[in-house]
Amino acid sequence: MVDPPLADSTAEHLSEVLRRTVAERSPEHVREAARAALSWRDPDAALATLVADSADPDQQLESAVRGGGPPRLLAYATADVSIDVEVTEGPTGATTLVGHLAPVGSAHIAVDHRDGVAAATADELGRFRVDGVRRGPVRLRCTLAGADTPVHTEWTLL
Amino acid sequence: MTNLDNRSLLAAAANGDQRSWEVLVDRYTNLVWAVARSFRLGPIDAADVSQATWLRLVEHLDDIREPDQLGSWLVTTARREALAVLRRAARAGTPTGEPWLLERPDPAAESPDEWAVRADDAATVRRAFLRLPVNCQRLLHVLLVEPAPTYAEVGAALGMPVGSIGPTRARCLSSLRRLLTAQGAHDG
Repeated sequence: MVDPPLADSTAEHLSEVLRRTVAERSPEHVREAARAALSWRDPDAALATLVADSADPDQQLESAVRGGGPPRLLAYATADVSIDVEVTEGPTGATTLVGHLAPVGSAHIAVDHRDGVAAATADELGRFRVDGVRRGPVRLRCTLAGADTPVHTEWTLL
Repeated sequence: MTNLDNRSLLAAAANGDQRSWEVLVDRYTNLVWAVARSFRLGPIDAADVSQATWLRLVEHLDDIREPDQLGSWLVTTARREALAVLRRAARAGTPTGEPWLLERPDPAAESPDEWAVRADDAATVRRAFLRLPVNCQRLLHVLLVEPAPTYAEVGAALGMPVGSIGPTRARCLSSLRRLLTAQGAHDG
């Protein structure tokens, strides 16, 4: 049985009751992760923006129609460098990134993800493969051989 | 420092000032979280959307053009990320939605103050809330955030015109009151 005052209450009172029963605060671990996010900042890196994403509805690829989890294709670019990445879902929430850098050349690749950093090396043809990347926010840091400035991709939610 | 405006805090954070960054996080973390949850994302997806939103702000600390509108910028970013999560899940055929309010611990029990709501009242209100149209649930959910968001932020979070927020809120509360009345009659 509902107290009559609850059903008859003013909008303000009802809002307050809702605030006590329905509203949520962000969990502490979410707040802590957000507070720690500033440490990821590197204003000296060149930011490669996401220029194509097969999961974007505006870029429906043929593979998307088939369903059944086709690999997601991501393309990033700065004025000078492009990075193409194919994301393959593993069985346990880990993904594998297979990618290609242009202009071609060897590079050190580090992938920041929720559980840490996964590293790999791009070969002289610019090809790389990174295993063990957890789903969640992910970015690639690419240090090209002979380049002064590292290239960071935008953070992307896998 | 908690009184500083967004412009000062963004500038300081861009220079690496952790304390300023934390003030910004504390100012908006509940709002960003509520936006993610208003799409009925589960706690893991909502945490990812939240973190992706903050990481995006870290990337763009230098080029937030309207610091006064930072809240709107954040909820727009969170909304876009949340919709992308839903879209990818739909395509992959994996469920994301969950009965977001049902399995939570009873928050009424956590607020032993003058506003404390009796446990059975809390359950009743929650049940009625979940019978509201989804748009009402989302609007009320975002409006309930503390500190209270501006209507511009609410509009950005829900993709609705600012002018329709007040009337829609009133309509949703009326519906809730009707549901409570009907439930009361039924329960009684």
